Amino acid sequence: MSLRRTAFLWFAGLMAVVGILAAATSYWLVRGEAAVFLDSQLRQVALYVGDAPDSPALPNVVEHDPEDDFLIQVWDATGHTLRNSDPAIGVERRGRTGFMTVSESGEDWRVFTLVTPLRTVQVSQRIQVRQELATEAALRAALPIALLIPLTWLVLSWIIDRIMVRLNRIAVAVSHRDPLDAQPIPVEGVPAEILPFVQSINQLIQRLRALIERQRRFVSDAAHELRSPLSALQIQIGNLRTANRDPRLEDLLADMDAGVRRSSGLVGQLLRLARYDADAVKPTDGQIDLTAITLACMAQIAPLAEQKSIDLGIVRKDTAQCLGHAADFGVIIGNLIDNAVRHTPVGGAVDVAVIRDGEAVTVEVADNGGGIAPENMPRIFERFFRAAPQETEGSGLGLAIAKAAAERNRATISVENRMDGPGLLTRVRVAAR
Amino acid sequence: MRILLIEDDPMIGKGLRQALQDAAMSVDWVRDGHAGSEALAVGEYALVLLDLGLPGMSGIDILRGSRKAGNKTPVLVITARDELEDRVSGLDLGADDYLVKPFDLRELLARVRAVIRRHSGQADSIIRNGDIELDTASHALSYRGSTQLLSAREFAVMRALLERPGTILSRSQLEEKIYGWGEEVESNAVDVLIHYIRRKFDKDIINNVRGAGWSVPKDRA
Repeated sequence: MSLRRTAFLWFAGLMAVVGILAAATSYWLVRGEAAVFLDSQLRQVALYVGDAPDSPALPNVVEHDPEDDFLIQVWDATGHTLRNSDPAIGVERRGRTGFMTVSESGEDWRVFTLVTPLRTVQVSQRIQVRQELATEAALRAALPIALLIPLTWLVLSWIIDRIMVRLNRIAVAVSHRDPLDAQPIPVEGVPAEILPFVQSINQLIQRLRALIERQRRFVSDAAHELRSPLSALQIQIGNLRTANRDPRLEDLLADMDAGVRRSSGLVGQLLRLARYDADAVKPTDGQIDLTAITLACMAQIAPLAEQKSIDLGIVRKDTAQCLGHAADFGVIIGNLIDNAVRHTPVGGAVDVAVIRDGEAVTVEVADNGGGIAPENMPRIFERFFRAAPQETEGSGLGLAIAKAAAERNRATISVENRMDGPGLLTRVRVAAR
Repeated sequence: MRILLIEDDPMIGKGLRQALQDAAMSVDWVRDGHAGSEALAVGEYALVLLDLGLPGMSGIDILRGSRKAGNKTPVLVITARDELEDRVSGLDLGADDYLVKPFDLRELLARVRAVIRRHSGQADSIIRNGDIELDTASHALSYRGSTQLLSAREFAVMRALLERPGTILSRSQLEEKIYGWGEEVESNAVDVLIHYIRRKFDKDIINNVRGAGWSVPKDRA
C-alpha cells in the first residue's frame, strides 16, 4: 500500500474518532444542561405565576403547538383550584415542594411543585417536549463538529498530497531516465528523510556506470589485443605461402589464411560495435548522397556476388540526399547488401533500390533466398544471433552493428520476409535533406 | 634497397621483416617512436613502413616531424582501420600511401614497390590494383599470372576501370572513354568488350552490377 494511502487512512481515522467523540460528548453534555435549564425554567414560572383564574385571551401572536406549553395549576390553602392553564389535563396535586417526574393521562410529565402556607403552585412540562428541546440543542452543538470531520479529510488529503508531491517529483525524475543515463539523480529539493535513499541510488548508478564502462573497455581492449597477433599470423601465413614449394600445402595454407581473415573480420566488427556503444552520438553530420554510398557498397560486394553467381543489381536510383555520417551509412547499407548476398543461394538475385518518397529516403535490399523463420524474427538484431544455417559464413554481428550505426544517425532499419515470394526485404530509412 | 620498419609489435615486426627480406630488401627494424624518428633522420632509406600506434612517440608525430625537417623519404603507413577513421587520413599527413591492418602480404609488397618506383622518378607505366597490372605503354594486362595484350578499346575500358577501382562506371561513362567525338557508338559495344576481357582472363576480373555498370574491386587480394 502506498505511503500516501497509509498516511491518509491513519490520519483520517484518527480525525474521525476524535471528531465523533467530541460530537458525542457535546451531545450528552448539552442534553444534560438542557434538562437543568428547563427545570430552572419550571421553578421560575412557579415562583412568579399569578393567582388570576385565567389569562386574558391573548391574540395568538406566535404560531405554536399547545402541546409545547407548560401546564400551570394553582391551588389555595384549602385545595380549591385557583387556576388551571389547561383544564382538559390535570396533574394531581403534590404535597411537597420539589421536582418530580410523574405519569398522567398516558404522558410523562416533569413537575415542579411549590407549596406555601397560602397556596400551592404546580408547573408541569411534557417529558417528550423536554427531550425534543434537549435533543435539538445537543444536535446543534454536535453538528458543526460532525460536519468538520469530512472537511478535515479534505484538508488532510491536500496536506499529504503536498508532502508527497516532492517524493513524486523524484519518482518521476527517476522513471523518466534513460536506462543508459549514468548521470546521478539531482539531490536539490529532496526531503531530508529520503536523501540517504537517493544518495544510495546515486552510488549504485555510479558503480553500475563504472561496471558498464569496464565491460565496454574490456571488449574494446580485448579486440585491440587480438588484432595484433591476428595481423602477425596473417603476415606469417603470407610468408609461408611465399616460401612454400609444396603444392599439397597450398590448399591448407589458403584455408588458414581464410580462417585468420575471418577472425580479423570478427575482431574488426567487435571493435566497431564497442566504439558505437562507447559514443552513441556520431562525431559529425554531413550532407551525404545515399545513392553514391549504395553504389560504392555494391562495388565492394560485387566480387562475392560474382563468385556465387548472384545477380546483384540496382533497380532504382533516386536522388537521395540526407544528413548523416558517410562511413556509418556505408556500414549499414554494406551490411544489408552483404547479408543478402551471403544468404541467397547460388544463382539467386539481389535487388537494391534507393527510393526517395516525400520526406524520407529508403534503401531497400530484396533477395530471393530463404528469408527468416518467423520465430527467429524478434531476435535478428541480437548480437551473435544467427538465423542462417551454420555453414553460411557470418558472425551474427552484422545487423546489430547496422542497427547501432542507424540509431546514431536517426535512421531506422526494418527486416521482413517478402510478400511477393520467397526472400527477405531489408530497409534503412532516414529523413531526406 | 633499405627499408626502415617502425613497428612495436614483435610478431608483426618479425613477420614483416621476414617478408621484406624474402623480397630481397634489407630491413632496419625499430620498435619505438623516438628510435624510429632518429633512425629516419640519419639513415638513407628507400622507404619507411610506419605503424601509427607506437610507444614513446606516435607515428603521426614522426611523420609530421620528418616532413617538417624536409625529409622526403617515402612513407607507407600501416594502421588499423579505426585508427585511420579516428584521425585524419594518413595521406593528408604527408604519407605516400597507407595500408589497413590486417593486410595481405602480396598487397603490401606491391604497394611498397609502387611507392619506391614512383618516388625514384621512374616513369611508372604500370597501373596496379591488387593482382591486376596494366602496362599503359605496351597495353599488356597481367592478372593472376596470366599476361595478355589488349586491343585499344579493351585497354581503354580496363584503364578507365583501374583509374577508379571500387567505383562503378556506367555504360555511358565507359562509352565516353572508348569513343572519340563523332564516333558512332554501337549499342552493345561495352558489353562485348567486357565479355572479351573476361574470356581472356577470368570472369571475376570485372564485376557487373545490374542497373549500375561495371567495376574492378578496390584492394583486391
